Amino acid sequence: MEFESRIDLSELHEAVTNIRAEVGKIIIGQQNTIDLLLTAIFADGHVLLEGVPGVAKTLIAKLLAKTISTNFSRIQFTPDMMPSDVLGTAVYNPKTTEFDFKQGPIFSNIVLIDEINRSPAKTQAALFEVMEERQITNSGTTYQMSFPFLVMATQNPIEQEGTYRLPEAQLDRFLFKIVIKYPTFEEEIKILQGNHKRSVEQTNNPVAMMQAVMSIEQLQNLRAKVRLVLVEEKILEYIAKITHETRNSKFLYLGASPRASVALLNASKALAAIRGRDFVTPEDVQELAKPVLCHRIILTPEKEMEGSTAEDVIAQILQKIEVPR
Amino acid sequence: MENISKKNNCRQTIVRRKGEHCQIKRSNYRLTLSKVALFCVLICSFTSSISAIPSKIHYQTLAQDSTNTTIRKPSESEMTAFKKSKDYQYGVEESQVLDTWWKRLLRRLFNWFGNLFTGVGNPTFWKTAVYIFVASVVVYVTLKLMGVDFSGLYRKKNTNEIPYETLGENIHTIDFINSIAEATTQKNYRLAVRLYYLKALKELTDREMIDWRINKTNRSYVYELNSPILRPDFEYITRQFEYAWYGDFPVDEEQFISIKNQFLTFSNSVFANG
Repeated sequence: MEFESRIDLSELHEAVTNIRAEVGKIIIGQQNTIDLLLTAIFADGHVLLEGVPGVAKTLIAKLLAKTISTNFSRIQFTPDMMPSDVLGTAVYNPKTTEFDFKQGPIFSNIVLIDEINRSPAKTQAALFEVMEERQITNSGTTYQMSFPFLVMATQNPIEQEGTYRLPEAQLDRFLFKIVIKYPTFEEEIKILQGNHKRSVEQTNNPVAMMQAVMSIEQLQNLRAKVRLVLVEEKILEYIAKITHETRNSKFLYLGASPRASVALLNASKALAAIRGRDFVTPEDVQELAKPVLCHRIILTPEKEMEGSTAEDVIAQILQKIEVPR
Repeated sequence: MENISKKNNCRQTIVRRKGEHCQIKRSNYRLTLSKVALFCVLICSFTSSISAIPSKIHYQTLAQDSTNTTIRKPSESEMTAFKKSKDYQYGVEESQVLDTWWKRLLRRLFNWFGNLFTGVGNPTFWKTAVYIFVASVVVYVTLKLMGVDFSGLYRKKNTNEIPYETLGENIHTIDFINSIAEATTQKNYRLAVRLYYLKALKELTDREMIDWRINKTNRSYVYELNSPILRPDFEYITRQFEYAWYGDFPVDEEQFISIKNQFLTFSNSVFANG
């Protein structure tokens, strides 16, 4: 006996397959990263990509942005950057004798903020409003961001010189922190082969090769379908238990916020839809718990000194909580 | 005239200054003289005290006392009587009649501790302190090696305990036959499907094909099942359960019979291959 899906997810499945194929032309491996990025796109969440230099953080973000026919802008964060350099500023217009607001690079659909931790807290704080409320207020005027608005930021966890740790309030605004790891040996050989081939064929600009495979309207429709994905009461309780446990864990100095619970719910719905289901299972929640929660929690100093990581503590919490069945 | 008066003024000023200078000089002389006099007095007294010491000391030899001395020792009974006597108990008076044994025990313990730490100058203090320190280090290292977590000791106890109840449902204690029969009678087919799935998990656990844990997902059990014969069927019934239970799909009687048959077939396979 087969159950028929109540929501037509064929269009979403097709879009996901096309995006994977398009990105896969350049990116070898990193399937989990691409799946999480797709989940974030459909769950309407911002993404923080973390990885050592040279693991294609920026390239993945750029390629994925190119697959959607939207505006794309890139901001390279530097230590001398001011909030007005990101948001925009009021410029005096001698013709009208008035101040006109000149929009900054944040006014785009997909914004890639490269090396986000290179700017001081005041510049990072400028992103609070726009990331959460999709609007910018300047000189008493509020400017709404156009649909879709997605921030993809990258940061390098190794380098400490000239970097600033992201404030907790900003970290909380990212749906996922995706840690990009090194490719496997086989994947690295494929990367070299692909690079060599493009070099010989003199087509070494991978972004130029990309084609948009999803329109804004399509994305809007697919997001609407994702929102309809069913979440059983027990799954909601399961999400709440996980988040609650982070606040009661003796290993954590700071637990996850209610925003984290909502993020886990929305992300689980998107992942379920990508997998062709119109309902969420505990599997979806468990799989997304780490990318959603790890950057929102702070370990106690004792736990940090022991060498434990946020991933370890989340894994312990998941082991403790009964899966609804 | 003016010039003359100016000159006079100048002379007067010079004379006055000279006078002041002489006065300062005079007082300095006086001070030096008094210092010298004091030094002389000190030297004289020192030399006189030295000269007072005789050049040769004559020791007198005293006659040895040869008388017999007898050491008197108080008898034990007398000493005990003295010790018990209230007149010789100068410390804290123990009212042994009025106090309870518990109070007396506490007082003695406090006295004992008080004697240990009567002061930093007391040699027993440092000795005791070193013993306590060494014992604490040994206990701490032992407990740490045993993997005891001390973080709860110095961390404020979280009063906000988990406000939810954990189901703690044990598949080994569920009466599946009656529960399934009851759910079927009530036409709660979704619940019946769930119970059939839990029964399947129990059967696999009993044959040690999977390791039942509360935190494992259904997919974990599918990956865990090594049997190539059972795995596709188990994956299929897992899917049926997920759609019925998590997906909230309505299950009518006809659908339930179909699902039930799949579960029964799987159960038979487990018995056959287990």
